Amino acid sequence: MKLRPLSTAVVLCLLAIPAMAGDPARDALLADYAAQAKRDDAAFAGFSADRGKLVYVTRHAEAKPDIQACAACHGDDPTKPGQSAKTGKTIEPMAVSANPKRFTSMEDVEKWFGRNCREVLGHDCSALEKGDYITFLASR
Amino acid sequence: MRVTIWDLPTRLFHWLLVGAVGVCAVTGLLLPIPWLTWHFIAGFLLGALLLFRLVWAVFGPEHSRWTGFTPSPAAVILHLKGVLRGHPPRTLGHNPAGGLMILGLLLVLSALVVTGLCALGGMFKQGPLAFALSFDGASAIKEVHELLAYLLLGMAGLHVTGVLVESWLQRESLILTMITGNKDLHKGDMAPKPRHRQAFAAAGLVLALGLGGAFALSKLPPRGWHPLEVPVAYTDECGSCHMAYHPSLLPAEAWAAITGNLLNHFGEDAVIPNKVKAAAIAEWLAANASENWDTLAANRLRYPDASASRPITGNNWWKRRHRHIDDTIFHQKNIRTRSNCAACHGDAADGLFAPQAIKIPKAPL
Repeated sequence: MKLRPLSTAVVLCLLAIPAMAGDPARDALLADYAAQAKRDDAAFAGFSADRGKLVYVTRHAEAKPDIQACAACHGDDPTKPGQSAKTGKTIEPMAVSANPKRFTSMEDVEKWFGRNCREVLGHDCSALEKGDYITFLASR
Repeated sequence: MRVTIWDLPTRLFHWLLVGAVGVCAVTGLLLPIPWLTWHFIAGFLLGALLLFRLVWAVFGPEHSRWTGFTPSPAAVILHLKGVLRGHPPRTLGHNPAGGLMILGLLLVLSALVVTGLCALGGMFKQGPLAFALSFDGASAIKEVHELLAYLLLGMAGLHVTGVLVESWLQRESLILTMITGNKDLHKGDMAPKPRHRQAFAAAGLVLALGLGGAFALSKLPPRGWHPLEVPVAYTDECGSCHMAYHPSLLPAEAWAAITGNLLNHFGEDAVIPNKVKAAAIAEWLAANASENWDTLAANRLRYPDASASRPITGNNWWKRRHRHIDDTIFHQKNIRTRSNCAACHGDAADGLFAPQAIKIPKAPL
């Protein structure tokens, strides 16, 4: 069967709506980071879930032993709850599909990036890293 | 002719008492703290048994009555002299020396129940006396409770020795009599008078009043502990990384040291960027710090070695209390760290830390 390009595109767009149709607050937050990223680098051409996944899983050997990657506490599968390496406290899932409240408050998001980027990555995250990270977890 | 000396209720009382004292002794003196649950249960049973015995001393059959444990000093001396000569005068019920021991045992047991209830009330904020006692008062009474416990063990030993000696001298097993309740009536023995017709009604009434009263008193608000409404900001901010520690665990000064240095919060960056929230949390912690509570944790963690922002788990009392718990347990995946009180203490969030609420979770596979 030969697929007609136009209807295929329409169907794909419709399928994509639930994934893309984020919370308005999250969209605004991402738009904010996008504007910052554009200011940082004029060549900025949108966030990438693939780059975000890299931020999530990359190990940083120079960080403290138990917290060398986001995934160390948040878990290899972000749709599952994580656990703080230091206190054992359960952390609600990072993936938006499992926890729709994620990335809807700038205050919270900035607080956690502020603390954890320095602790784990060893530097303050750029708007690009933040946007990629959120895009990755919003796609999961 | 065989007659019943000890009726069934008296015998049941005796052996239930033996069991309850045994449980109390083992759980109080030998086993780890979580076993205190059984200590409390056996202690309450002891209290109920003693209430019953009080009634039976008035309404019970002849040899269960007060007169049996209140011999004249002369009778006691006469009996002991008889024992020394190997021919004590025969008695159907308690002999005078044994009766005196029963009186002593009942008094010491009653004192143990009362001091135990005081300790339970003041130290753990539980039971009928929780409304009345301070932690310090109850701690002092607990020392008396312990001394009485050793005294009771000594007296119980003497009691058993007396029973064995008397059984041998009289050529009749007193232990067996306490099981079957019966003795052979010898020439000159009088058949014992039976219990009062209203004896069971009286026992039921006294037990209902006593236990009902204790239950009603235990519903009064405890002294030095109250339910606390925890602000959302606290559970959101502090409780997102670790258990939301009850503010009674540290003095105001120690809380100020912690909230004043969130950039280095036990090695972590825990800064709360929202200044209004941060201030509200600091204020709430200071206002509800351990100075406002009279619980075990508030008292034991209040002392100088808990000053400044040193971790609670570094406190000497804390370390002593947890010294039998192996490192591997603390590092279990479902506990992770010593600071995770709530992993084992079901009531940690309320600041109570009752022995009954301790349950060390099994290691996940």
